[in-house]
Amino acid sequence: MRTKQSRHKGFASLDALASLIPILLMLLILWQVCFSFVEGSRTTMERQQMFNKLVSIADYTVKSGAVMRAGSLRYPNWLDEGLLSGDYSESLKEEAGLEELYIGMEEPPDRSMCIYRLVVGGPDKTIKKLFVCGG
Amino acid sequence: MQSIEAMISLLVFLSLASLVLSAHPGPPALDDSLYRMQLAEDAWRLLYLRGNLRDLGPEKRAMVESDMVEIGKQTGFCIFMQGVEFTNCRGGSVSHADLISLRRTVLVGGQPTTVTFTISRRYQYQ
Repeated sequence: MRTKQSRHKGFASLDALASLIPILLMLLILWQVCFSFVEGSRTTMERQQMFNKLVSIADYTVKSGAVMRAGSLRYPNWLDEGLLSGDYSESLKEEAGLEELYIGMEEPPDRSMCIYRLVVGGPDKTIKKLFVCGG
Repeated sequence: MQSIEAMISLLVFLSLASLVLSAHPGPPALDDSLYRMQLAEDAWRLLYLRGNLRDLGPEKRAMVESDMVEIGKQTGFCIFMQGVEFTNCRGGSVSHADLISLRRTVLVGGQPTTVTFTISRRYQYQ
């Protein structure tokens, strides 16, 4: 009788041990799936935040920040390129909390995110693109 | 016996997990609806600043369409102005998913006329 009971116990332990490995594997996979979902959402949110900041900076620049003025009159989308100095983008970079910010007429080759706005420049109102890039 | 069942369960779970992972869409695209609207406003504003939207008429077609072509070259936009039938994309195909339309009132032959100004991303020169 005692021998039979101990045999049963041995089987139960062996089975439990054998099923522990798949259970652990399942938990590991589940954890990895959850982690990848959370990581993906975080990355997407950060990119959207960066994009929104660049859109706001570009909109401010073409509507007020660096436009032609005649007294109190502003000309949105008519850019005064002389105002796009280093100080201009530096101050906006600090206000927006960005690590890098480029505002200019030439598209930089290596920036993580860039948008552009359509503007005219100069007295002959040549059609140009204003690039706003951040990282 | 139970070990075999556990292994079968694991196999089923693994196949389901791989199915879920492969079906999981990539990161969602950025929401750029406001930005696209701003680009459409830019295109309209540029035509206005270039001075060709004052009293539109057939005689202004060449000048307005020339500006539209320039914008199209730089951005890849197809631009349409319904009401006066100006475009830089005659005969080209466009992506209807990216259409942005604005309604604006302009003078056409001295009469206030509402035109629909539309831009689309795809641009094909004919």
